[in-house]
Amino acid sequence: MEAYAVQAVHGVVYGMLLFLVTSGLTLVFGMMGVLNMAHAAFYMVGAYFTYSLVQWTGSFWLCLLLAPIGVGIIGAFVERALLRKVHTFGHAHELMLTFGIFYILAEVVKWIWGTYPLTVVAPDVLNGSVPFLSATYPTYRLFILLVSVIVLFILAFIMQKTRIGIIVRAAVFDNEMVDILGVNVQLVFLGVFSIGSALAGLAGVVAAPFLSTYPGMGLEILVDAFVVIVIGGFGSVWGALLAALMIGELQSFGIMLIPELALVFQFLLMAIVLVWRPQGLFGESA
Amino acid sequence: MTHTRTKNVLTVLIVLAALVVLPYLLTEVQLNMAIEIAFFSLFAVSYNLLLGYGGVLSFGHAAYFGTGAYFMVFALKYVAGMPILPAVLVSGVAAGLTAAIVGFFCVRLGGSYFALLTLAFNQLIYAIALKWRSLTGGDDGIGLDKHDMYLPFVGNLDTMSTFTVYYLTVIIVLISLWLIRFFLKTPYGNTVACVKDNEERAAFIGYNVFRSKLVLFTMAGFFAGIAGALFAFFEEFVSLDSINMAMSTEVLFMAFIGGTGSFLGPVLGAAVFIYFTEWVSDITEHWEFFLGVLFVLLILYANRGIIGLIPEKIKNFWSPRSASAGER
Amino acid sequence: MTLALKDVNTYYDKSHILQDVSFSIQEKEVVGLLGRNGVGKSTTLKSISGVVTPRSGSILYKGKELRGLKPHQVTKLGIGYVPEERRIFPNLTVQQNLLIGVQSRRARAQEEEAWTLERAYDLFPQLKARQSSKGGNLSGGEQQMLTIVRTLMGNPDLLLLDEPTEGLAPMLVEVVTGVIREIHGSGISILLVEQNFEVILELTSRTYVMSKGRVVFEGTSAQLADNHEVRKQYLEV
Repeated sequence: MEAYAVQAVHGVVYGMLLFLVTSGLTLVFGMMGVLNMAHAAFYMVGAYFTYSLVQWTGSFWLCLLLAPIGVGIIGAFVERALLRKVHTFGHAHELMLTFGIFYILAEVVKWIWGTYPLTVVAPDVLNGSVPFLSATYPTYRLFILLVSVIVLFILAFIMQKTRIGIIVRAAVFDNEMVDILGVNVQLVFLGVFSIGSALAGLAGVVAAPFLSTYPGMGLEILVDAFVVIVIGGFGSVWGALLAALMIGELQSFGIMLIPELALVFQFLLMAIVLVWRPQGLFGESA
Repeated sequence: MTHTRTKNVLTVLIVLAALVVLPYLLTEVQLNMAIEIAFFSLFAVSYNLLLGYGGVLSFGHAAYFGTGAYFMVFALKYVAGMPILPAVLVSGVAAGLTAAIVGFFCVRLGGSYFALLTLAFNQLIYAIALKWRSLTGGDDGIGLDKHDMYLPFVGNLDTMSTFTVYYLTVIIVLISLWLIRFFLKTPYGNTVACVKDNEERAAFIGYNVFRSKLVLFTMAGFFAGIAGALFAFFEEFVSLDSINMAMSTEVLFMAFIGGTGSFLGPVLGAAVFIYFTEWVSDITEHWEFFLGVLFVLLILYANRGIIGLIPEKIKNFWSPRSASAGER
Repeated sequence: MTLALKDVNTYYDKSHILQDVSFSIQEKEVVGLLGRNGVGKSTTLKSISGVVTPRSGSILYKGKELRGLKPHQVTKLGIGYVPEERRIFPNLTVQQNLLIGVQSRRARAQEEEAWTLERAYDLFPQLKARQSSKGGNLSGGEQQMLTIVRTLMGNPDLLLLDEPTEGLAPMLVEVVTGVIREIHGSGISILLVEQNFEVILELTSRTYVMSKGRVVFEGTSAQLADNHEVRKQYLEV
């Protein structure tokens, strides 16, 4: 019984990490209508930045701040210098462009850091474990949970209570009207894209000591994030949260109970959702 | 009109003649590259049915290429005395069926959803190939059992010879390309390919958009499967590389780099891609980085691909009437 | 002169929608813009507000060239545009809808007469009662009020109104007419696109009539009321 409880918490932890990655992705998609495939690369770059920053500064805590800022700056450049240019060509070009950036960044990462998995060691405080039921539970996993929950609350607060959040939600629906009402929507796009990228970077930072840092980590999380988006519904933050937790639990218990088929379960769930509710659990329309 | 026709027929004859004599002019290494270009051309053209004609972006086309490749191996391995040509056909059908099932889920949803689903399903099929070790060999891959090929009036052909593989590949690719082209020119094929331009209007006049997209998707899968079978036959070995995300990426690059606006653009793209990877990988091990940069530059500055960069004058010489008709 | 258009030409792709359109609006004036469907009235408003960019001509507002500006830049100069389709944000509450329109940096916002949430609610108790409802749950009339008030929150000096009475019941048309008169009373110039001739006569001092992308008549509203030929040729169905 206790093994199940531990596995359930594992599921929540991975689910929340997945949510951290997807939140930025849905935010950008909801507002700009762009499915940013480079998002997964931003996540990976966040993890690699952490590796190097820990080497230079010796402080993991600093990475929590610096790596997302660095990734956010890359994101700002991508939006301002590249994505905006192809907007008029239509969404297929936008998608291809973000994919091209994903591809290039993955190669840059290999170029700079090599193809071998790197290890990032978390600070001592987080490396221990805490009592859990009759045994113990790794502190670091709880730290991931904490960071994700804090981000979730900050995001929810901004979106619900601040003028900028209201503007973002309005722009999801009709960005031209927001512009007509006197808000520089392009600037808001730039901001949202940068923050979305920074969130991916942050997810990369907390994932670095937890999962291994290697060049395929982007694609791996990208596929999981896509499944989350399909199940939760495009552009829906709450849908992303629920779906991320579902996938987290599914993988966690899948690996425990039927390891051979664990990979397939999430796709099955996705297929079921697609047949039953093509727009996703929380999506308003496809 | 007749003048144009004569010139076209002449062009086709010259190209055919060139393809026939090519093996005698090339080195073994170059001939192998030519074979690769041939089946990747078919793969890229099948992909362009989706991107260029259907107007949808797929990140999972390797699923059908790989399915075709694996089924080529299965057919020759598990069916005693399976002749080679039917085996190729079986591979195509297997890939087409897979595409039909995946397409059922994907084609109803347009745009980004489609892209994301094709990628997810590619990963699913990849996961199956990875985990079903007893059938696919998993990480280790699986070898192809080649045997001689018997053709009526010709007799037995030695399939170990690069010449045979070359001619077989080129002939099957040419027939496939001709079939695709023929289909696109039939009234039904024409409407299927036009759905992209005016989906709303097509739906409004009672046209079944879902079905025609599914037909296009299945067809793209079928011909990708044929290309995969030829790939397996050439390599004599199939591994997860044939079905992974990198392969899906490569076909997107080939089609787009060549030019999605015309039928033969992807063929050019396949040739450039194969040449580029051979050539640049000799110079730098980071050739994939430069490939990505080329891709992004084309998106930003020449979104009709390399074929769009060819001066109109040269294109006009070959086909004066359709110089710009095929492109948007 | 507050606003002056001179030889404005606007295209959608290759179709030439506005052809050498010229007209002007004086300070604190209510001007009507009439014509049948598809003659370019809405495109005229869109050209002024920056939603579409005219290919040639000039649009001067208080001496500043508007052509080439983005919608938010035009709004910041003091022009409020209320598009025909209302376009309220259905996922936001009434109050949040209004907050988006606020332009706190505009000079007019500092004046005593400035539009604030309180003033808006005073004038439209209906909206106050529904301030926490989602915009999507409002009735057509309430949505029309909301979209006008939302633009007023930006304290414009010139208001562009695109068919504010379209699709409303006669009683609501009266209400909207009253609101527009009140807005005018507070010193705002208005360019009013309307199909409803009664409303035009009641509110405007001068009118322009458009046909096939051109201005074909200009005069006082009284002159237009008497000019049966123009009315018959360009307005009546």
